[in-house]
Amino acid sequence: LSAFLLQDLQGALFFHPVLSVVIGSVGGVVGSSLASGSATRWRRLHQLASARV
Amino acid sequence: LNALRHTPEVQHLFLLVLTGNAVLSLLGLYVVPSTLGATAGLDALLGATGMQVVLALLALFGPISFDKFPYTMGISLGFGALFAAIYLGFLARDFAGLSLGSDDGLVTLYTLFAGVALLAGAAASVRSRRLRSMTRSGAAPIGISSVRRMGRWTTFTAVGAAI
Repeated sequence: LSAFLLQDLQGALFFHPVLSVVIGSVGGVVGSSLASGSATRWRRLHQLASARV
Repeated sequence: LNALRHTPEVQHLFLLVLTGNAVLSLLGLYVVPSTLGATAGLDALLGATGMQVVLALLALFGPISFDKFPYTMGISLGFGALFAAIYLGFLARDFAGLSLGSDDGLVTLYTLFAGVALLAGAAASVRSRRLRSMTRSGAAPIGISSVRRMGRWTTFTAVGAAI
C-alpha cells in the first residue's frame, strides 16, 4: 500500500504537471501557429485577388 | 518577497496548495524511510518537490506578462477552466457510479486536453494579431516589440491552458 501511495503521489505531483505543461505548450503553440498561418495566407490571397482586379 | 506582497489572494491560495504538496512529498520519507537509500526514490522526491517550486514560480511571475493584456489572460483561464470543469464532471460521474455520456479513458482525456490547448492558442493568436494591427495604426501604443509579445503570449497562453 505504501509503495502504491507513493507512486500515486508521484504521478499527481510530478508526471501529471509535466505532461500538462508539455501537452498544453505544444497544443498552444500549434494552435496559435495554425491560426496565424491561416490568417496570413488568407490576407495574401485577398491581396492577390485585389491586385488582379 | 516584493512580488509576493503585490500578488492577489488567489495566487497566495495557489502557492499555499503548492507548499502543501511539497510538504506532502517530503512526508513520503516517513511513509517509506528506505527512499533515502535508493537513487530512484531520491530522484522521485526531488522531482516532485522541484516541480512544485517550478509551478509556484510560474504562478507568481506568469501573470506579470499579462499585465497589459487581461483579455488574453482570460482566454487562457477560460479554456483551462473549461477543461477542468469537464474533467471534474467525469470524476463526479465515476464516483457516483453512473455510466452516462462518453467514456473517460486516457485517449478521450488527452484528446480533449490537447484540443482545449489548441483552441486557446488559436484564440490568443487571433486576438494578439488584432492588437498588433491596432499598434501599427497607433491606436494602442505598446512598448515591447510585437515579435517578443507574440512569443510571450503564445507561451503563457499554452502554459495557462495547461494549468
